[in-house]
Amino acid sequence: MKKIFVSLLCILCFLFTPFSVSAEETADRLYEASGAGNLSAGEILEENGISFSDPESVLSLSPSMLWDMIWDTISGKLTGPLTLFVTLFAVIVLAAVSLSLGDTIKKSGTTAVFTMICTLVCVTIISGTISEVLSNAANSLADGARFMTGFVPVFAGVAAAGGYITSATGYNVLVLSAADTAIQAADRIFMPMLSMCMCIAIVDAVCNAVSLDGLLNGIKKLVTWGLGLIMTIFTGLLSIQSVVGSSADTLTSKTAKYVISNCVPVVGGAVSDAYSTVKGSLSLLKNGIGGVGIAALAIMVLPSLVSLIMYKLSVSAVSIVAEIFGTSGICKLFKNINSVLSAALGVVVCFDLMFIISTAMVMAVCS
Amino acid sequence: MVNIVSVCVICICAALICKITEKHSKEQAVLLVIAVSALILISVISEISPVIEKINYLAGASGLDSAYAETIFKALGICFLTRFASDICHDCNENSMATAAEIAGKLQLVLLALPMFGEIADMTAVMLE
Repeated sequence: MKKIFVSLLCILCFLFTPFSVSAEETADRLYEASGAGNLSAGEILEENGISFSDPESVLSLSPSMLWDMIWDTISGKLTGPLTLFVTLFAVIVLAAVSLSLGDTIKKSGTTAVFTMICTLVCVTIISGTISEVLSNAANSLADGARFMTGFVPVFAGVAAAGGYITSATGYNVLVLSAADTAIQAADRIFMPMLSMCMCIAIVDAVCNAVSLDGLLNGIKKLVTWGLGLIMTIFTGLLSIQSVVGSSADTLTSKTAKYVISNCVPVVGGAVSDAYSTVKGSLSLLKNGIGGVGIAALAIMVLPSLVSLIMYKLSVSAVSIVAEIFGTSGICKLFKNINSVLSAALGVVVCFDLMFIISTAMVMAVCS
Repeated sequence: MVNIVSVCVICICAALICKITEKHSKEQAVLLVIAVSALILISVISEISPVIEKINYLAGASGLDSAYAETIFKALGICFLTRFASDICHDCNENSMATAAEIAGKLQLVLLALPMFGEIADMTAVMLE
């Protein structure tokens, strides 16, 4: 009797003693500690109703909203490329007018030096700007990769908690390796290679004695083929791992449900259903996190990507103008710089697409 | 404005006079050529300043640094003068002097481009750092 009374007293004490539970506070503290609130992309996302603290808000993203975001970025980045185009256009017209003042200059031995001076003027105007654009592209690549090193463990963790352990492990290992490679490559390979190509482009245009456009085209082809190969291997490997892993995870999950419903007495069926509900909630959370992650990464790289594309268009247009006016030396310079910008654009797009496709693939397969 | 008809008439007359005088005195013919060419060149240069001003204004409006436009005009002037001197030397059958004038012109152009070479070298050094 005494034992029953003590037991009842303990139960009553347990039930009526309040414990302060603060899951929300913990979540807030984790959110603050993650630094997600300080991301520049976060401000743009929140302006469009998407929040890191509420991953499901990604569902509010509409195509018109996306287009507005892209258009705002384009209009913000339009001034630089346009100014460059107009300035270079003026130089080309000036050079063409000077060269077309009859055969007086064309027949004399000073033609080559005069053309070189015109090309040097263009080099001086364009090289600083293009160098800055390339540096921004390298920085954005590194920033995107750094964001992925923080995002991948969280996303993989939620996917693993939702029962997709094998797929999440494969995603974690592969994408983290790719992100680390991208961070290292941006500083140690990407920028030096592009700077070297830029120097080759300038030398090729200024010095007629050497022809380096073959070398430049070779580097461009190497970059294009190399990136294509890396992208194919990466996405192929991740697809196989995700599909096979997803099957294994589904098998494990179904076995677990079967065991719960058959081995747990009385409440087995209810526990099994609860397991499915929890799994569904985690799947929703995972997809929400994945969606917000993809949107954040896209917004993070969008400015530098738009800037690269705009400058590439501007240089292409100037090279067409130079070709029309018959200033071959200047035209060669712009074509070479266009090749360098193409290579840079290829690298940035390839790495960012790799991150976005891999996350989207895990979201699709593990559902 | 330079009257193109007058210029053409002066040139043709000077050429005819040269043809006549060169049988008796080649030196006088060459002197006449130099005098007429210099006269025409000076009158054209005095008329070209409004064109240069207009091009400078357009270049400035497009955002082009006036120093670059100035460099291109200076280079153009050097090319014209070099060609002029070189042709006169060729007329006098002094080919080595013509070559010397051309070399001097090229060197002057390279000197003109030297500051830009320096700027590009600095930029390249920054890029390769």
